[in-house]
Amino acid sequence: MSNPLLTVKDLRTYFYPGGGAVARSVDGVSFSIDAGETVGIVGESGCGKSVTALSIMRLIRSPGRVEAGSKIEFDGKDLIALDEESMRRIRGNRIAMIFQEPMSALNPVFTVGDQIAEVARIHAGATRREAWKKAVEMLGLTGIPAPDQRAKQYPHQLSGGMRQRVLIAMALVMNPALIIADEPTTALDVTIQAQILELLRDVQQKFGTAVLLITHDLGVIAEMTKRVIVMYGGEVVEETSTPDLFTSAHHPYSEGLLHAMPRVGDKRERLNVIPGTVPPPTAWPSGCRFHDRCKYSWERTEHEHPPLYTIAPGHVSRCHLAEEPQRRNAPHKPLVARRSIDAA
Amino acid sequence: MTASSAGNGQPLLSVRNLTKAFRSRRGLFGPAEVVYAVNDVSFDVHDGETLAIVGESGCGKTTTGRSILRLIEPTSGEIKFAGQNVAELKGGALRRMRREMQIIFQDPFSSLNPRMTVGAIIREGMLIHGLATRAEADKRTGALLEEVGLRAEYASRYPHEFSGGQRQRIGVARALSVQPRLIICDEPVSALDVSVQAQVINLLQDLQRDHSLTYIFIAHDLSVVEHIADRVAVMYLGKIVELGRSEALFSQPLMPYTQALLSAAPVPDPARRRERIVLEGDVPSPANLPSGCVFHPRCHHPAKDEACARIVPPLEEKEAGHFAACIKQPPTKVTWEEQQRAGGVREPRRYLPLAALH
Amino acid sequence: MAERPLAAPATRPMRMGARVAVAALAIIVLAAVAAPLLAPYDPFVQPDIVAGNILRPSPDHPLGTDQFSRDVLSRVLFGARISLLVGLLATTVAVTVGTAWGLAAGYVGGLVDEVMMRLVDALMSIPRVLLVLALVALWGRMSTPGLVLLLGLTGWFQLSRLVRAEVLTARQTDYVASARALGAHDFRIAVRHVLPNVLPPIIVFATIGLGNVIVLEAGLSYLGFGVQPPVPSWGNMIRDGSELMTAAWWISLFPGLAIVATVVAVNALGEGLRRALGHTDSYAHE
Repeated sequence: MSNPLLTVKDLRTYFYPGGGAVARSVDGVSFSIDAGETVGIVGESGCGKSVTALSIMRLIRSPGRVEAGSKIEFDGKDLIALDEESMRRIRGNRIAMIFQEPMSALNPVFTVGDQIAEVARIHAGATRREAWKKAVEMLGLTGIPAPDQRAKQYPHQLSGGMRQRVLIAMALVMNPALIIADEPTTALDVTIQAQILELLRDVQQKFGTAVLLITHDLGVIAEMTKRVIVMYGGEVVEETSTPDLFTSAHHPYSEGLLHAMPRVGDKRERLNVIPGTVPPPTAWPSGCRFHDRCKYSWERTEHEHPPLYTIAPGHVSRCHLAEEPQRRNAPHKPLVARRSIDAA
Repeated sequence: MTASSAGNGQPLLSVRNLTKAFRSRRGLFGPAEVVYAVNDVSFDVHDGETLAIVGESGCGKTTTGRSILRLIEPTSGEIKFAGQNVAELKGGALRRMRREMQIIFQDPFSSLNPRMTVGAIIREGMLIHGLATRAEADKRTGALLEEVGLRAEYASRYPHEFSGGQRQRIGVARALSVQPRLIICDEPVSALDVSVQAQVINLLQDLQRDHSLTYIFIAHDLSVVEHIADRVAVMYLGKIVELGRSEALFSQPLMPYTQALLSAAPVPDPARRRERIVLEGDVPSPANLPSGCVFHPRCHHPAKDEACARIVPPLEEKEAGHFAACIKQPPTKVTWEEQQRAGGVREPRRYLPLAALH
Repeated sequence: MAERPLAAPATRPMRMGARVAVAALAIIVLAAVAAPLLAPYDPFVQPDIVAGNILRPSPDHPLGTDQFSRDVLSRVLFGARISLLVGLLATTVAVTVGTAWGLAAGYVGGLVDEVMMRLVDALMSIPRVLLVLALVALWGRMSTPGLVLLLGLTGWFQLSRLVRAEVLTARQTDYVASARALGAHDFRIAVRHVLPNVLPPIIVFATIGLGNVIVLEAGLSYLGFGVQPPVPSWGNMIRDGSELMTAAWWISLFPGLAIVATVVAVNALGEGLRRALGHTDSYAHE
């Protein structure tokens, strides 16, 4: 068995705001991605999914920092130990990133063609002419009509969907081994989202690029990924194959997310809710970080931090129910009684 | 046009030929151009129902909502609320009318005044309309906070102390404070996380039941709309292109745009991969509307032809209570002869692609 | 109870420099207020008018005496009262007029806004010092209230632009839309919803404007157009000593230092307030 393309081990990224409490945004995250694989990370805002992505890219800025003991191995290289210059050569070249807001990820004063060409000039040392040709080619590849014309336009002249295509073109210039896409379609309309997801799928198949897809949308996860990581409270709480998550989610948080979505066909029923809100990263609850919102929680979950239990081959879950499955059927105390707010 | 469902008596709100045009200039010295954000929109809303308006950004759904409240001045058209023409009201009469219609906003951060306490925010409407003395208003504020699932003590806090979901509840309490009959919910859950979104949707449904509220629910998320709406209006480029009962519209979308919209939504079920209608290109600029049917350049209807580019399709009743603006979906009053005269070569025929169904 | 403040509060603690500035200003203001108690001599009395000896700084006269044998320390202390008072009152006038002007223009909009702002543009095209001098030349000698009005009424143009811009932003917010939807009057919206949210930049402007006014007043008094002798102001004290600079440097130096200290402290406070009331830095929580 070959080594995975990317291995993240015990990643901890903390923020130290002046005077405030330490925010443990990412707190011991481990996972790996094989070459050519599409893995999803799903979770709500504040769960640490974007900080995980930025940590892999080494783009965490003060007051944040990746803690000692964290390991990120890519292509056999230890990214944490790399000097800034070597890391710069990996970014945009071997690992590319696509952001949620294409407008702010593009420089408003350069044409989009220039910005794509720049990547080729930085990493491949291409001449101006070669780089421009490459830029037009990449734009065409992402399905933008009349790419030679579009390349001469500025970001504000393009629609949101077009801009996202430009970012994808930029990401593809160097044919990276891994693309990290952080909520790539969240800012887009649904019909445009469909176009972009299709493009990502095509690209992934054509070039065999591995994709780490970060999203809050379980629909996107279902359509795009083979394997999924659910994050909550700065931790991985469940990891399994995508079909498995939808049929046999183990962690109560995963289960809650799936049930909270309005689904086609369940019209007019009340939605199941997860009471309360995600706690701030400065104050994760003790024991299981989800226990105060969990309908199954019992004494043990309040004190003992659960490890990642193996539920089945390739399926892990950070929930003591793995050891005490009978608890799932026990009558649950109503959460409302314990938490008077937000328990609608 | 009677774009209403089987109405029992007078509708609570009736919008006729609502149009909002913005004038803008291209560049500093460019020619002035008129952009129709809302273009001749008509619909009714009945007492106690939820009418959803869905569409993608720029389709005019938010402008429609705000025009009804006169937060944006409509260019023309009639807005009748409980028999009164809102579009003609002025000054005090308009302010009194506003008690009856409230709004809940999308952005839980910009919708609450950061310099006012939660109590002051919720009290304001009651005091403006003299619905309560200061002491009564305080008491009612506490009751309202509890009704939306918060604690009465929160009245003395400031908005920044709350999470997005909690702020959205405060916005709901503010809307309820003046006992309105109609609430326009402008993407009220779009900015919230999935788990919190479910809490707020349940809350809105509970309140509707308890207070016999009527909702206009503006959204882009189809699964939320299907969950909450009785009837759905689909907007595209400032026009309503389809309007019908929720079940009918979701099970049998007639307008090709609605079909594409439904098929584009990612389905959270990996076992049910399906074909998808992927629309070509982007939504055209509202400053430069396509002729005929505004959707024709992106349309996938097999009978699409030259007639679609020439004839503006009327919003017509295709089935009882189910309206769509498409001359290629029979029945249509635009006869085949008429279409041929306009260059049509493909006869209208019912088209319902599997990809649009779920 | 899991309260989760998603947005940081709009204010942050002030930095070190600003705290020092606040302390320094507090001392200056206290000294001005308590001048009658602190001053060792009467600032107007000329005990040695006949001989006219100018005394160097000494234990008796810590900052020396001037050519009219008046105690410089006492005059600096009393001068603080005048300089600060004129500065504060003139700033109050400027802030009131500028805020009202900007609020009205921004809130009413349309043609009214257009006319009001073009007028401001015209007034702003004349350098303030020239404008002030021209008006002084028209009016001749100034009474102190006249000086306050003059400095106040020439100092609000920029503020009105700033307020108008902030008002235009605030007017677009959903909480203003909501207040309208609740049936609030325009006046109520302007005062309760818009004004409180444009206050922070006004406060910052007022602080920095105060520094400018103090310097301007000193300049006018130095030129003889401002506070009239024998009433001590820092500006006319520098003027008193200007001809004796080499022989009796202390007459001009100490009021000069007082101006510098006050203006530096005021500006540092303004900068501190700008940081404290401005937008918070956000860091990636997602």
